[in-house]
Amino acid sequence: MSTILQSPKVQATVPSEEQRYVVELKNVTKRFSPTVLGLDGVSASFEAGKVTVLLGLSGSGKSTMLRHISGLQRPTDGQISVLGHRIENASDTELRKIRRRVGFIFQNFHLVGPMSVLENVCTGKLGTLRGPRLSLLMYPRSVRIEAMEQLERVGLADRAFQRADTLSGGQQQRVGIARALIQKPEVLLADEPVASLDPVSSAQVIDLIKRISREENLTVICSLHQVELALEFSDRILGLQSGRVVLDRASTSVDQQEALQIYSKVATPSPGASMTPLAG
Amino acid sequence: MSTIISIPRPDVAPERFLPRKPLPRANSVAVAATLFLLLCAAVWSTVELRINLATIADSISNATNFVARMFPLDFPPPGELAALIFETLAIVVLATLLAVIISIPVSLLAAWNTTSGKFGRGGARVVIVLARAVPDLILAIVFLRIFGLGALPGILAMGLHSVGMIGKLYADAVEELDNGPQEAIRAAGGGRVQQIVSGIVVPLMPQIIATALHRFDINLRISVILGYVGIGGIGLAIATALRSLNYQRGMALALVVLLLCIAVELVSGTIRAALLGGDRSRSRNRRVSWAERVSESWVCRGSKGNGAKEGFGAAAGPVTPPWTADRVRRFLSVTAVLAIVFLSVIGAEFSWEALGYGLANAPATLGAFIPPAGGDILPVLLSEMLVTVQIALAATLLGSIVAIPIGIFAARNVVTNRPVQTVFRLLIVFIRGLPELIVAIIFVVITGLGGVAGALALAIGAIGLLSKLVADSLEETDVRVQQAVQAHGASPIQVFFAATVRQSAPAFVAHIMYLLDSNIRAATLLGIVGAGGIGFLLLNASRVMQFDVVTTIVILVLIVVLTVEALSLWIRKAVH
Repeated sequence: MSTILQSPKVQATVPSEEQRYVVELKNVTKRFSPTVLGLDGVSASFEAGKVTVLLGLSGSGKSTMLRHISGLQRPTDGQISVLGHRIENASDTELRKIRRRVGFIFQNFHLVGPMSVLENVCTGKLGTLRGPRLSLLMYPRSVRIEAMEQLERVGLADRAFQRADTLSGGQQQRVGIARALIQKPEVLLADEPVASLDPVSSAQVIDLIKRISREENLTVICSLHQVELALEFSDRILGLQSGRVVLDRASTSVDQQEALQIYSKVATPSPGASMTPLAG
Repeated sequence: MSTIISIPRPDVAPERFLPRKPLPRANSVAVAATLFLLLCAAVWSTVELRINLATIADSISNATNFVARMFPLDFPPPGELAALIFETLAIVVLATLLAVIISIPVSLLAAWNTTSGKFGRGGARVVIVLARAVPDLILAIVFLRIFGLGALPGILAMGLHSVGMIGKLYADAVEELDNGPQEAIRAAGGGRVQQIVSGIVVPLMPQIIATALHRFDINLRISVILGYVGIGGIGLAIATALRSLNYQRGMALALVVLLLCIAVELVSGTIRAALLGGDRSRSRNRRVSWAERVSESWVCRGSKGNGAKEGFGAAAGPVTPPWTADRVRRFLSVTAVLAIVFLSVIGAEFSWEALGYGLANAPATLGAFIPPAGGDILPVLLSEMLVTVQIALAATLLGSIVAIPIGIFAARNVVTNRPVQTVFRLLIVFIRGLPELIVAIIFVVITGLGGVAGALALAIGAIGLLSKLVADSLEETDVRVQQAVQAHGASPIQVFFAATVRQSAPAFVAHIMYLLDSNIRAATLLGIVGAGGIGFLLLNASRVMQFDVVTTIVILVLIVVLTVEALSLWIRKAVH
């Protein structure tokens, strides 16, 4: 398996069926403790260039799922493949290579507060650089230029040399997006990117993600709480409840009432999925 | 099921459901008993050491005699004095730098969120505890034996001992840090070292520098003590002068040390306050001091907002930070630090040759330290160790008796009279500025050799430390409780005891235990100037090259220090 991971030539021979899906989960289970299930046999495939929104209550497994796709957590059981590579047992070095191609946007931005905005964007490029960087000037000029271009793209080039923690929440999230974009990702994961933002900033950030995913033909997997926004923004809706997939359809065929049911405490019977009350 | 059955029916025995006063937990009883025993031991120690008014009255003639012999102060020629100060500062700078360089990796291993595993964490914690427990004086004796005279033994001794404090504080800071940024870098494919440098070291830079400056203050005081075993600088000059009973020179140099300590504390205190007190709000329309600017520019590359330019063309725009005033200041600060380190290397006459030679012969040299001496010397050592403990206990008791009222009068929310409160705050700052060793020397001259001098010197030091802690914890109390008690018609004294003291009593106990812990460590050292306790035997053993005795003393000191530390930790945890 490791040979497949390391050789791009072999990757080209992967069947086209596999190529269609950039991210695939097969029966993924995550057990945090004997009684707490994070994911309960989740299977889902994500097509290239499509925007998928994950809906579900807090604790339903949205974040856990995204963190598994990024390899930040490992499954107890099941298979995960990302960009043609199996990652559930991949070594740290192999994971690093895949993570370079997968951008991640966090709810709380996760910027280094006292660092300048520009340097924060540059940290997105660390995966392709050797060794640590103690200051902005230690990044190659080409990386700094790229970072500036990404900042321009999210409309914050004029803030490049400001401390990241002097920006508003919405601005910080746009820096977070620039940091993900500098990786030139093929897949963009976003874990409730607007949950900490006011409505106006939320709309800006969602518009930005939408625009960029179209421009770059990115595969986007994004968890959200706003049902309306989700329906309007995505190609597909994936509903999670207690770590199980309870809804998986094109957004056009999902009505608001149906989407809201994902949030109902009482499990809604859905074809093919027998529901159990929330575990843990 | 069984729980349901075991519940008695209310109609059978209603009185069983009346709330009963819960029995105190075994742990609380044990803590209270231990505290009581410690208090008894402290009173006994004070009596045993003959610390009483009669002893002090007896010493008054000595004191006048001493003062007479002290004047006129005899300062060395300016050039010589400058060289002494330079040498001392050089050793302290390099020792602190060494400690920081060692502490960063050690603390990253010791913190749960950055450690490499259980063994790495355990190992790093052991290194930190041991570095703190072994007195720097003992390290200095060992390193002097290995590397010979010069700055190197002093740098190594203070550098390694400081890891105990710096490493602990760094590890705490790392554990408190939000690990989000670290995870973001990990999600982008960054490696472990990259995550730690960009996600932890860079954001912690203000704390890293502030802690180092704090330790620099402490090391400056310690360097004077190390002069007694032969580490160069002002300490050595004081030791030489006092050994030949040249009080005029010795006290002149002591005054220089006092002024130096106060000057360094003022500068580093200002920089530290700016580094740690900083938050985002300070950048907004507020006059910022020079030190604040320096500090924030350590971490922020460039301007804070005023560098914003409209219509910034990305590809064409500059990608290096503009040379704003902040960047210039940062550049100058870094240059100044590098220059100081460079000068220190020259000033300490650092010799790689001595280092290599010493290391090559270290195994043979260290052979002299084992096996530890035992047999007939052990009873003598044990009795002096007991005196050491007595000194620490008596000093803690006396210090607390004086310090608590001073602390109370210095608390803003207890004393409404502003001038009174300010006077007491200033008094605390002044007492804190006095290096313990200098105080000990003065007491040795006044009260004669022995435990009284040590206990009184430590008590003075304790006043400086404890009164500040007391004042701070009183000021941290919830004022609404005081207002509530006042609203019921209580007098100011009643408010003080019912609301204020009640709230801060656990903190007082914790501070006193911390004080005992640090007094035990200090008491092992003060003997070298003749202030009683095991330090005197330590100095003698190293002079006559009985290194096996030094080892036995190290073991005894370690046992006592670690026991008191464990006791103090347990009680502090229990009362909180």
